[in-house]
Amino acid sequence: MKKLAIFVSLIMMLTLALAGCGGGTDSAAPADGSGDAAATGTSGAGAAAADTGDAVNINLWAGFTGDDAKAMEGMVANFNEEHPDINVTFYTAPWSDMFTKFAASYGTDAGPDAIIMHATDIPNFASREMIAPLDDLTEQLGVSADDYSENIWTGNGYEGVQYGIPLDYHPMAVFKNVELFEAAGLDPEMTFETKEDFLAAAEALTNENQHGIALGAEHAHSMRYWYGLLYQAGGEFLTEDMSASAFNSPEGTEALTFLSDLIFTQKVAPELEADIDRDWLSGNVAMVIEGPWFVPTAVDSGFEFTTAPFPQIFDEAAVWAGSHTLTLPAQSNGEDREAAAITLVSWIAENSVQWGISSGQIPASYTVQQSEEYTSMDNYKYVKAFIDQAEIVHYEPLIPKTAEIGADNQLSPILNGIFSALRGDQTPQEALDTAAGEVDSILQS
Amino acid sequence: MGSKASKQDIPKWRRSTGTLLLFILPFFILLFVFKILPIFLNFYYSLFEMDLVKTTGFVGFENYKTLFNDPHFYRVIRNTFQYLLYVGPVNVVFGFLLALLLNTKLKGRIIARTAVFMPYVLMITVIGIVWRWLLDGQHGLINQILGMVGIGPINWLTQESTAMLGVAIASIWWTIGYNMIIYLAALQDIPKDLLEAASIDGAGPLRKLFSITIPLVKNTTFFVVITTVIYSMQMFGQVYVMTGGGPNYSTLSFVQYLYIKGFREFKLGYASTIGVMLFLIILVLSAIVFLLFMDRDKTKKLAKGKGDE
Repeated sequence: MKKLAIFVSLIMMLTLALAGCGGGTDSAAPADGSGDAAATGTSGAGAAAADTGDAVNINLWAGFTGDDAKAMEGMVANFNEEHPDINVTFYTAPWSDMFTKFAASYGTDAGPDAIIMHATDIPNFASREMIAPLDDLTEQLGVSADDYSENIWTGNGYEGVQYGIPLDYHPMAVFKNVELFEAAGLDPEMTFETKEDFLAAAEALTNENQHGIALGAEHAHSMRYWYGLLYQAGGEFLTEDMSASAFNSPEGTEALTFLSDLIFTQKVAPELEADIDRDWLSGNVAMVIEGPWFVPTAVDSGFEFTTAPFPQIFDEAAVWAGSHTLTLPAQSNGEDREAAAITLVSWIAENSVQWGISSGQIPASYTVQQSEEYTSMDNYKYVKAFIDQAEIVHYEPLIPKTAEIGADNQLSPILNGIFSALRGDQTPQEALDTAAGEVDSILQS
Repeated sequence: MGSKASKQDIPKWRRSTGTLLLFILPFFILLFVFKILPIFLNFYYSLFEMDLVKTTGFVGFENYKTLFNDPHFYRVIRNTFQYLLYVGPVNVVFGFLLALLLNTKLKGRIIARTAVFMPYVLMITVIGIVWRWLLDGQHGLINQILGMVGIGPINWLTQESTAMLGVAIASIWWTIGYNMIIYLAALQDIPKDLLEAASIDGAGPLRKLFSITIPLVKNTTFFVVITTVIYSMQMFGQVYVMTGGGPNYSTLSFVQYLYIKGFREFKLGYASTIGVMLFLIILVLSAIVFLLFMDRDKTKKLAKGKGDE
């Protein structure tokens, strides 16, 4: 009996200790866009609510985890402090969970008064009339299209109607390990203006202990790289009316061949690579192409690095990008709450410098980007490479079916086609042809 | 006399069936609302084309027709059974052997028991991340150890042939402690005098194991097998964290498929259809396990009884 007691208490102690560890590992989860890791939380912002009984209570929902969640919690706390008449409750859960709850709460007054989503989610909710058109509200919101890159602003709409106010945008950039660059006799500040530039650097950085560049065999980023290269080569992902695939073109094949050659011909990227971030952080690869959300992780790791814009391989300038956007639900929760939600959204857009500094994401507004407060922040030297790409970003198609064919869905035919080419199971042409057939049948269904 | 008196001491209201039902009612209400009702609702939903906010219409068995023509569906069934095949036998047999080992008077067995059970208390996301590192193709610890004996390197999670094996190894490490604990409890319930009597009669350790221990933990084995089967069919977290279902859909699991269809693509009717199929498969498997473990003698007697009449 006594032994049993010892056993039970040992287990309980371990459970406690491990639960502690568990909480800390959330940020180490794979970052796929903005991380789908486990952290879920609500942060009411009590102080303001406690002393003002007649404050308007509204809900802001998002799918942020890790650094992003913390950054938005901080912003909401500041907003509540500045606005004694409004009390915002911020709720965040992994994207899919949040969207499911959004749907479940739809039509009740327990749902969100403002929602942050990805630009590519807009078509899903706009086509179901769950989020409100903002064309008539932009003035009230105090935002103007002129303050944003045209690509980014129009990328927050659906069928020509504006549904979102861009909060940030996240293209990709090359993270360079300074020590390995110097050891290879390369300038760590270098950028990659041509295919030859890039290949020469990658080859110089490859030796028996390390590879030049990370290229995950099962990482959604591999599709994001290809997506940027497709547009660089002058190709298109879908036909102009978005009714059929257009990526199994010579341009698409050229882009994918470039990537698979990095593995099989130049051998500057590892075969069947499992974890690009960790390989870069441990010095096994000299370069990794990542999004701005990776900046805080890289800074925390403590080793010296620099960033450069996404490599220019082909003729056009282009890079894949995603974007977080502020939207309002279509249903009305009463005038007071609507007015408060508009105040909140316009405040967040206006104060997105705070978002940019603490989350690493690039604020979409030019005014904020150019503000003294933003340009003087510690990490500015790292995010500069992302900002410079604002005019050349390409979003995944703004149609509801992107949920099925985009890089975020593990069943996406094109994602799996690219993986199969990078494994060497299919030639780039075969892989794209197969994927094109499957994408077409999804688009026609 | 005394015993009669005590029976009459219990007030009538406490002996009535109504009171009995009242006591179990709270449990059954919850069971009904959160378990039984959803099973039937799920079947009902599977007959509709359902979207996030609206039901677009009754489609009859259209979802089932689509599902039976969906190549992913067969892949998912194959993968899930492959996982069950890897994890099931090891978890049951080695769970039992570990329990046997840790039921002997070894030094430090409490620490050993704790160590075996410990992974089970961890979140599956943590297990997944740790094992993704351990099984890394280029720099993983497992490959370094295998390299010392001249094997490898194996790209565990990024090639089709070994990805499910990698997931299974992590899962076994995660769940075997649970089976071990259940068996350990059963082993400690075996009366010592039975084993002693057998020793006196000259039975060796193997004889005791097969004639006493294994038959006496049969009910536990039934429980362990059935839970292992059910949990294996519902496997999700491991692949979600470790492989995302790849490479080439080779680790895509039933529940992950349901999750993607329902909550990424918002095809809730179709996801319900997948859920119904999973329910049916688990039902059939459970029935098979149940039949296998039914008391043979009883079945024979039943059969005989019927035959005589």
